[in-house]
Amino acid sequence: MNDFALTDQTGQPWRLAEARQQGAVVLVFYRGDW
Amino acid sequence: MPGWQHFSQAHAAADFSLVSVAIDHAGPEAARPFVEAAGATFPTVVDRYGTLSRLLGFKAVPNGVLVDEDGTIRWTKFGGFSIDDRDDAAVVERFLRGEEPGPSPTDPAPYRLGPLERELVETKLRLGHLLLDAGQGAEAVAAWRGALRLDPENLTIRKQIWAAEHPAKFHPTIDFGWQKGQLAAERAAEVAAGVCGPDGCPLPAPLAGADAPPPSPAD
Repeated sequence: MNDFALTDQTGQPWRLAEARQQGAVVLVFYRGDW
Repeated sequence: MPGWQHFSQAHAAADFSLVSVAIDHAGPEAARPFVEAAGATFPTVVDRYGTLSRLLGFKAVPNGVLVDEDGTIRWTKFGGFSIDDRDDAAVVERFLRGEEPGPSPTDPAPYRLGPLERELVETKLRLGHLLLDAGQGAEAVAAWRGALRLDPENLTIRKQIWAAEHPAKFHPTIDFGWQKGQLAAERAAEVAAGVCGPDGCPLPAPLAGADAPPPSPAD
């Protein structure tokens, strides 16, 4: 999966490649409430 | 989100990242209340421009995507993904144990646009976001409606339009009953207009439109 960078709810950047350095990544997509 | 928070706490010792991705053109401000209400300690990133929906090719949420440390997507479920679902939870558990998560479910909406149609949809979506950022909300919605006309099965576009036109139905809480009624009304209107068939919008030629002649038997 290509790397990507987005901003979290506090305005901080988040990058997939950096998260992968800690191990596997579980991405959960939603819109608004659950 | 409470279910995921519970899952995150139960697996705090595991070496993995749990990240929720909010598809919301309204940006971090719109996502923050839901995150805070759930007391989530894992990050929620906001995909304001639908970058990942285009990258991964999904048209609705909730979805799950499992990525290993090498960057390989090992499993996906587009639509109906929930940690409260026993089967979905079992897949995630296996994945985090380093086991094979198993085959991904069949995409419930396999209809795909052609490359040119897809590029045009993306262009209209991005144009809408630029217009919205410039304070031209009505023009933004018009651009998104153009994208939806090309890709009527795409619920992320449809909900984006709804959120822009009916913000009270989305914030601070989401009125799912209203969405159901709105979707039914819009589907009926699209069927009447010939955009979609009675069973949905699997028609492969929205670009061809009503003006295009039907293919001849020789084609």
